Amino acid sequence: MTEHIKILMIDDHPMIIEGYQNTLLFTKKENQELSIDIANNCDEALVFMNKAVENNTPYNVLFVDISLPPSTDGLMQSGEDLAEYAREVLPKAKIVILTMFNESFRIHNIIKTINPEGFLIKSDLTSSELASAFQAVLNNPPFYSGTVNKHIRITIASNIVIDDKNRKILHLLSQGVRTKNLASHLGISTSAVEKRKKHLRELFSVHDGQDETLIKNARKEGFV
Amino acid sequence: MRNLFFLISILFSITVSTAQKANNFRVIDSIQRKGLFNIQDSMLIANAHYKIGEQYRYSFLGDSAYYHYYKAEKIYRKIKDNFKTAITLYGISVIQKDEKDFTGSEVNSVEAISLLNLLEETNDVNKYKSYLFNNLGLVFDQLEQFDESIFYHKKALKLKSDLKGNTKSTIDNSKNNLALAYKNSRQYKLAIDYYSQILKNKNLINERSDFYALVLDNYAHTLYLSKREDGELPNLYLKALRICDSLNNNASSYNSIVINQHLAEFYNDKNRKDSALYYAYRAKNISEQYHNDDLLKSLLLLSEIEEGDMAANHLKDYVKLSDSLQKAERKVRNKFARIKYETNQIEQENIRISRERLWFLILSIAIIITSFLIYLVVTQRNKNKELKFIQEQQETNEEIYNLMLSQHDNIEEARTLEKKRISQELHDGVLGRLFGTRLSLDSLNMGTDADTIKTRSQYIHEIKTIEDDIRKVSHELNTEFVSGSSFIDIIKTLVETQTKAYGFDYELKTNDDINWEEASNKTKIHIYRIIQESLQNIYKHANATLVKISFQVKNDIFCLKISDNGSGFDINKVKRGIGLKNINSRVNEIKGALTIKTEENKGTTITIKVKTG
Repeated sequence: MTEHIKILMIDDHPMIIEGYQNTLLFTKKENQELSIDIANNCDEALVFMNKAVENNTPYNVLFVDISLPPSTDGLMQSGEDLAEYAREVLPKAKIVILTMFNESFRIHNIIKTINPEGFLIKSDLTSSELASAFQAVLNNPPFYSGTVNKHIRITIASNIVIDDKNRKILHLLSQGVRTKNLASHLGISTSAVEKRKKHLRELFSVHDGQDETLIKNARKEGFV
Repeated sequence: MRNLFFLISILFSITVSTAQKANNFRVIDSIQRKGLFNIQDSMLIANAHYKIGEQYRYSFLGDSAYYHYYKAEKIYRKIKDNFKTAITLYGISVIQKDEKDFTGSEVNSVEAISLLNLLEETNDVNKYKSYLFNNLGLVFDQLEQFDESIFYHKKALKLKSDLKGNTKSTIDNSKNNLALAYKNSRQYKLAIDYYSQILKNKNLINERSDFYALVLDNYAHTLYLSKREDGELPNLYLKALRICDSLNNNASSYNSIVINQHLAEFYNDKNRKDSALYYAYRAKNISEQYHNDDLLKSLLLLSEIEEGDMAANHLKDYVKLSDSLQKAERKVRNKFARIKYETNQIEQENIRISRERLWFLILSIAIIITSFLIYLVVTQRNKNKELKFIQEQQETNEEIYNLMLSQHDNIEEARTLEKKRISQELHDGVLGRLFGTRLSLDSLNMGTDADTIKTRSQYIHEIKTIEDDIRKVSHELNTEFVSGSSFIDIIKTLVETQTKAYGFDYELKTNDDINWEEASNKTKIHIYRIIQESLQNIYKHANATLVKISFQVKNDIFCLKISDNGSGFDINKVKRGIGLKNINSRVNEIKGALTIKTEENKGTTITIKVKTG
């Protein structure tokens, strides 16, 4: 019997969507029939999703890129927000996140907030992996790409447990944000930032007190 | 002090002998010269003055004696030594009497007596009292107040008779004086009594021959006046004259004048003209050397004895001498007054001088203090000014530094933005497309049909496009992407805004060879400030319409040239102006060389050369 699969691909690069399409079309099973909608930004994606809900023709699979131009109303800042929205309006749809980001903090956040059926990092994605991911997501989710799996393994294996704020501190520090500016980024006081950094230094056994060492150690442990 | 005692002892040892008189004066002079009068021990000074006064009195130098007595008296009065004051007054009164200042003498004598009356009646006190009474007696005798004279002489005699020691001669003197007073008051009997008392002493003729002769003459003259002579005259006169002549000294020859006069008078009375003339001329001849009252008397006598023209001549001489004597007396009295006045004046002068000195001292101290204070205030103010100036400099320097820092921040910000843009471009544009192409090619990899090959070649072409894009980004990275933020731009902004505000045109020539990044902030700040200051000066003084500023580098020497087409100035006059001073100090700060070329009405060019690096 023919399996009809409705797909929404959201990415601001037409070239990438072409790549996805090519891959999926070449590797789909004989009995699978793909109908693919393409959205290049948040607004288009919203239109497609809302239409699907309205017509009661929900998508089976959503390919969501994280870095997207924000929606015009400003509510959707990135693919992350879109995915969350999709979870709400299309609860049955399988979400596959495809992103260039490979930082631990982002990966961690995405798993936590969206818990996608598929999580693929573009940099280590091949067409065969995308194909197998597609099939796995349809039949036996979840499918995480190697980098994501590695991150999850490290985090679980590690004894270190840190909360989201500290994770964000590490992330921001790795981005080169200065300590004095951290407070405004996090919405907490400078002394609180200092306290947290002290805690982090203890956790990652940083003895020289330098942020560089802290980031290095955190990266080693998979927190950055 | 030892010196002083030595001198005084010398003084004591000097006798009154005439031969040594000159020597006395020398000693006196030396005492004065030795700065005696500067010595504070006023008692000693007064004693010295007194002694000198005595010396002068015995030497019959009335005015000098008076001067020193007067000085001594002043000091004694000041230190309230009544006895000494009294004996000094005695000395003065004697001189005054001798110089016929009878009133002065009387006043001083009375005062001396009253001073002595305050003291205990010792022998010395009584002795001087008796001397003073004697002096008063003589004074009143001269004033022809014979009752008074007799009264004082009696008092003196009474006191003298109570004195201790050998008082014989002084009593005799008093008796003689008393007898004289009686004689002058025509109480001849009493006078004769006293003279007889004196003459009764048979030893007198041997002990005091001149005094004996004098008394004898007086006695004879009293007899003559009382018209009670019984053949004793002229033998008594002649005896007295013989004694005088035999003594042959100054005092006796002086005494012989009177005796000769008396003899002439006697013989004239007896109408023995020859003898009368003989004695009268003798008296005149002797008295001529003294040139005093005795000569006067002699002349009067001669005019009486002689007849005709001779008498007239003598009378004329008498009148002349009388006039000159009176004048001399007046002169002496004036001299005393002058000495007194001058001394007072000197003292007052001294007081005035010392007061002036005090004022001068106070004034100079005040001036010194005020000038010192003024000096302090001025230096303090200058220091403050300097500090303020430095502070201002620092503030402006800081301003520029901040300007440069902010400029630097701008550069950094621009850089960051550019970095972000490039990263974004790489990430979104290039990376996404590359990923899409790779994915597509990957999926197309297995296909071998013509359609697939065609599509693949399309993707390969796409890679070429991406290549171009990357090249573009790389090129952009390579070019100086940040502009409008270097030091020269700050200068540009400065010159632009200043010249616009001041209303003149400008030409700014820069050289891109100058590596401003290498120059120190200090140099940059100073160059900025020099340009600012120069523009300000040009605006204030030059009346220029065009300013040219150029930067150049040659052989490691950086050269800044600022020239205007204004009125120029006299460099010597303006050298010390604040603006130029500031520029100078700034050039010195960066160890540069400043040259100023200026020509009246043709403009000014300032050149600053600094070694780079």
